[in-house]
Amino acid sequence: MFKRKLPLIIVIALLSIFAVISLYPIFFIFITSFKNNTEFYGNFWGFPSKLRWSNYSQIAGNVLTWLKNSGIYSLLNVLLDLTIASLAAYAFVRYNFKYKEIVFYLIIGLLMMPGILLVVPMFVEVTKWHGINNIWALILPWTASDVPLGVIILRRFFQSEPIELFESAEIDGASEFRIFTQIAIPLAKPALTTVAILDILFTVNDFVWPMLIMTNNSDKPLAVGILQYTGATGSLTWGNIFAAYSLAMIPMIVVFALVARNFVNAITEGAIK
Amino acid sequence: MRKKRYGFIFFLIPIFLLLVVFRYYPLFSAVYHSFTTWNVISSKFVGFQNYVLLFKDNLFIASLRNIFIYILVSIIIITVMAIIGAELIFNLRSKLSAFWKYLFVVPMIVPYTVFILIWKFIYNPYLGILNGSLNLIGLSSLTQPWLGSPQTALYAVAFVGFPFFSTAQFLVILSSLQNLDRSILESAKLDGATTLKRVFKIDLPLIMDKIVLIIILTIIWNFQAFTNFYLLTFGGPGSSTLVPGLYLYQMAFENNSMGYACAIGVIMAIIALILVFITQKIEQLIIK
Repeated sequence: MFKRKLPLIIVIALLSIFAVISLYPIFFIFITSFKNNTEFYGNFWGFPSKLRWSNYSQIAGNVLTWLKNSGIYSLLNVLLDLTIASLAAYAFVRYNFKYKEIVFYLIIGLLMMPGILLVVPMFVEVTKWHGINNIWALILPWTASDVPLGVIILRRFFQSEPIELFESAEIDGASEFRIFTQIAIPLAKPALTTVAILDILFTVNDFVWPMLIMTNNSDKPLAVGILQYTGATGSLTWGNIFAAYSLAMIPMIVVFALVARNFVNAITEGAIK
Repeated sequence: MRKKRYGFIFFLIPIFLLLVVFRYYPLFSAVYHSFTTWNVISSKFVGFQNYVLLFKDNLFIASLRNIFIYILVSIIIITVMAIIGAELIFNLRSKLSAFWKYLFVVPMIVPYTVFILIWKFIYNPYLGILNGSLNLIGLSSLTQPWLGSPQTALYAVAFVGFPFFSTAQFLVILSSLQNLDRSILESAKLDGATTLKRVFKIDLPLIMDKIVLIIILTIIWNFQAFTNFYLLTFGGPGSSTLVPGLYLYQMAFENNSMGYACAIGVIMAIIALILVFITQKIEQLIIK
């Protein structure tokens, strides 16, 4: 008889090999973050002889500032996007108006546009208005690029909400804005979570726009600031550099541990949209 | 219901204010200025001059060639690896499969810049993990300056993120497999089909629409690739890894040729539209 199923042991072995390839670099970065240069060159693959927290304390000031900035910028972008996108999505579900389809495609068509095309004219505008290092010059373009996806996800969710709820509220004389804030939004928590997670990923990972707009070291988000740590020069050791990377990864890992399931769903849904 | 008339305007004002200022106007400005010579201070209308120059510009042509190779390589390796990874996990019991799925997602939450800088270190010719591992297992002859040689640099960038299990593409394939009708798979098992046969005869045809979707996503996302090329090679050595997004950036912010940069961007937008259009046509043919 031939084997019907791939033996479990082979499946696990293959997955383990891929897991090592995938995760070993992160593990390497972490253990090397405690080494000094002698150990880095002399004992490349091994564990550090002791935990040198000074590698961390030397870079913590910078990295924590950038992390804090990334956190604030992401939060503002999430709040703006959720507000603006849910308002718009609600209009598409609850109202009928002329050219509704066209207006909708006017919004979601923007998803097809290469973002870098708009970077040049926006940078010139921002420069003219003396907006360099202005937090809103950084965030509002982010929100503008994130709202189309938010509208798609939230519109589909509002469409799935039971229409009787809205109608009975309407009969009770609730205003449309009240129905929106008291009924539609509280029910839409799963969709809002999805949009928020995607927004956080976009803002934390975006690079070119913050690089152009945020030029003060103390205003930079992590994605841009971390470029200061790309190679060992002067008093900066590889231990410092990898301490910076390790510290930079921690907040997202904490967030992930809290919302792993939502996170996976958000990515999948964002891709399928 | 839906007796209300103009209330929708109130709900749509914020989004259109935002989009007019930060999307439509910049889009108009980019298209207009692609017909001008433009630096931050002044612009002069020159008609189609930028476009004429672009099609004679060897660097731009090299950047298009590079991005097409990069996309093609990415489509192949990402799609194949996403299917392999998803099938392996799909063949496990549900508890185990969740464990592996979350394990593989972890690199995805590393901030992208940090992720790329870690890969830059992996590829480092003297200190990197890749050459170090090759030396360790006695394959020193294979060691390379991966990002520093024109023969390997473009492929090295395309392999960043291997085995590509921490990608949206992988998650899409896995979730579509897990949503398949179990009874079909059970009956295949009863018929004595081997795993490989089941994968090719049943699983893959059933999720063909999702496979096409991840190919489209890879095209759209990778066509705009910027950060990885900027940080890993900045287009070099020579122009072996120059891509349109990076060339646009260099023209606008290092050469101060913003009109020319806008023309690159307009061409990119047009190519992106054509690529998506073609892929969707192919999708319709396959799925029929």
